[in-house]
Amino acid sequence: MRKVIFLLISIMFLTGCVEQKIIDDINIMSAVGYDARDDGEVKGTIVIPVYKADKSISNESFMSVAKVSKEINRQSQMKSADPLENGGIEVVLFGKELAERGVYEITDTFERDAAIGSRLYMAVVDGKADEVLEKNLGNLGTGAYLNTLFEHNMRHRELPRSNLHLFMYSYYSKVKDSFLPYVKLTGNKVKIIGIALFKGDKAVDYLNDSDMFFFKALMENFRNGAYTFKVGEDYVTTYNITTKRKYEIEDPLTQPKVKLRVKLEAHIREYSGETLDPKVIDLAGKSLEEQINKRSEELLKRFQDKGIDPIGIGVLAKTQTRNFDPEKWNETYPNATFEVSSKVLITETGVIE
Amino acid sequence: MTTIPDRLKVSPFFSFYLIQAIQIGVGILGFQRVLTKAVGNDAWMSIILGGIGVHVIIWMMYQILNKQNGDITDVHRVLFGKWIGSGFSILLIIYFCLLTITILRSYIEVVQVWMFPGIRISLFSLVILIIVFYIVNGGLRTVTGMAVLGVVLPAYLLFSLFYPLKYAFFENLLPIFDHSMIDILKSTKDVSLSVLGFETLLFYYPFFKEPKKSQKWAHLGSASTIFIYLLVMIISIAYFSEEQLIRNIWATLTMLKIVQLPFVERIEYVAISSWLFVILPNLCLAMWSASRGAKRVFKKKQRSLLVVLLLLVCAGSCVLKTREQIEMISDFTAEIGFYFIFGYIPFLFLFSSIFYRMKGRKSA
Repeated sequence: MRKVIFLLISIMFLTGCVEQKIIDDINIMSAVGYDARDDGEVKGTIVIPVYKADKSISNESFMSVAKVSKEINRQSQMKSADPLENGGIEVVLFGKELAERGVYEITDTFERDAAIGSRLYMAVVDGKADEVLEKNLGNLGTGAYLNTLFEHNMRHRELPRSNLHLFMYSYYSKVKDSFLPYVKLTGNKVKIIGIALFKGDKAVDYLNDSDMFFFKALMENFRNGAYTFKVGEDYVTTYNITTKRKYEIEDPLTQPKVKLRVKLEAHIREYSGETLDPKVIDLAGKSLEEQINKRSEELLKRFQDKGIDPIGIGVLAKTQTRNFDPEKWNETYPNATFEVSSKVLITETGVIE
Repeated sequence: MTTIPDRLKVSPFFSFYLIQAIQIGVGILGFQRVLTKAVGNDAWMSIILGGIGVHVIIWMMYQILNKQNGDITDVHRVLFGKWIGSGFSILLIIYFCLLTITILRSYIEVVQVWMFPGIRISLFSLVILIIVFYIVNGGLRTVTGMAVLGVVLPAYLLFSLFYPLKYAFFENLLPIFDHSMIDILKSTKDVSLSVLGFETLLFYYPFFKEPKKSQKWAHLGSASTIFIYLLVMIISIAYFSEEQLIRNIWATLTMLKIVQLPFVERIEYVAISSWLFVILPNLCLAMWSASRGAKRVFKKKQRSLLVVLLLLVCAGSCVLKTREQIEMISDFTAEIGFYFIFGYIPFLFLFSSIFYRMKGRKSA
């Protein structure tokens, strides 16, 4: 008898301890966007997917203006029929103006919030973020569309990896700067048009689409990718590109000399000329090598001029120096010289000889 | 020396689980911050050094206990006499209660911050402590069973460490010896803090069937703990940049935020829930040791003493409200624990060696 009473009391204790969140009764935020306003406040746009009875998905967006991002959530709660939950946010968009003003305050809340994952994709919009989020994009809802857009482009295409964790990683490491994808609304689609480069939490420079390939080659090892370039009068498209890169640095404290060696393997898929004979293949390889060397060096110099370091040359210097002083490095970084050498190997030319 | 009936004893190899179960607790969820603050990317070296220190202490504890063939209360009584000896034992009991409060409250804090902000501390403490009562009431054999579960069941979480490896930059480990050897040695203190609790061995030692044989397993258990800490530390250094690691209170949990599985959106919720299995043996072992010690000192029934101690712990856990208070109490406990392990035990070791040598000379 005593045991039964004990059990009943325990069961009483175990119910109704915390707030319930039933999935049908909440609105799961899938994407949010932030724009700068002239008065210094931030305009936030929240998108939730709405699942309809005919199994199609549409979007609903909430817009609010406030000083801090959690206040935007609160304002939006007042407009939403069901409670808004932020655990499902997959994508965060920043308007260009806000990105240039600084995004730390917003990214910090995301990092601080236990409900939000580190894989969150972030991007800078050429224009206003709310314009993108107001549209009905994709057939799975705007959030899911943007999420898959970034995912496949990072995994298989020329967009270098970036997410909330990597952004914060670079932000806090004193020897590396962060970057985010740069997108634009074109008709009913969002297009990745380049990379927004950050200094601290402010966007300072934008790379265009054609630089993206070289930028990714500098950043990480390719596993897949495509690039089209000119050989003589004709165009060659390479695909299935895999790269390996190796950085070396000499005299990191006085006159840094950065050497980069890139090894690239690719297949040729398209050739606009007559015949694809070994001579052309050889020429294509040589020309790609030249381009990699030239464009990569240009990029590295460009970063240096802007005083940013998205590649992490500073990390390289740090690994070789004890008691590394980031401030001193910032003084020596402008003196660094770069030397890129590459080796291209065309392995296959498709199924036709 | 009281003799313990055979039916209450456990096999020597269970010391592996008993040691490992209590060494891994809430500490591993966020031990990286303090270490990184002190020695940055060299933190993994202090873990190895701290681990060696822990092994030496385990060896010393076995030396003390082997000579006595009883538990720590016997050692105290023989070495210091009835009154002073009991005094020391009571201090030890208080320390174990503090340890229980720290573990319980830190775990509830994690649940509060990560899962249910609206949880009621008093109710949650009470529910957990009822389970603890139930297990400890079953005696050391039941507690040992819980320790085995606490090591085996959450072991799958080690696999989740593969995911952060995708985002790991191992160049963060370089340059090695960025900090001076003295700094690294100093920070071994912080390592020992996170593996606190294995001094419960002082109480359950006589419960082994062949106590001397358990030493090997105790060392193995401790070594595996250190290995796990080392693994987590190295992955954390590679995954976070230094400043980021210092900012994160529960770096291990934050690391799990990157895991994405097709069937579960966020693994850290699963991890925190499974972590109860890690916490329970911690609480049970500490409470068992405290109540066992109280029984030996006050010569009362262990069950009623256990109830009193559990009520104290529950009250203690409810009093702590803010992050600062929790941090204060855990720092305080850790400080006491550190001096107890690395000050008192070596002292006891020397004292008992000299004591028995003198005694041996006298009788010879």
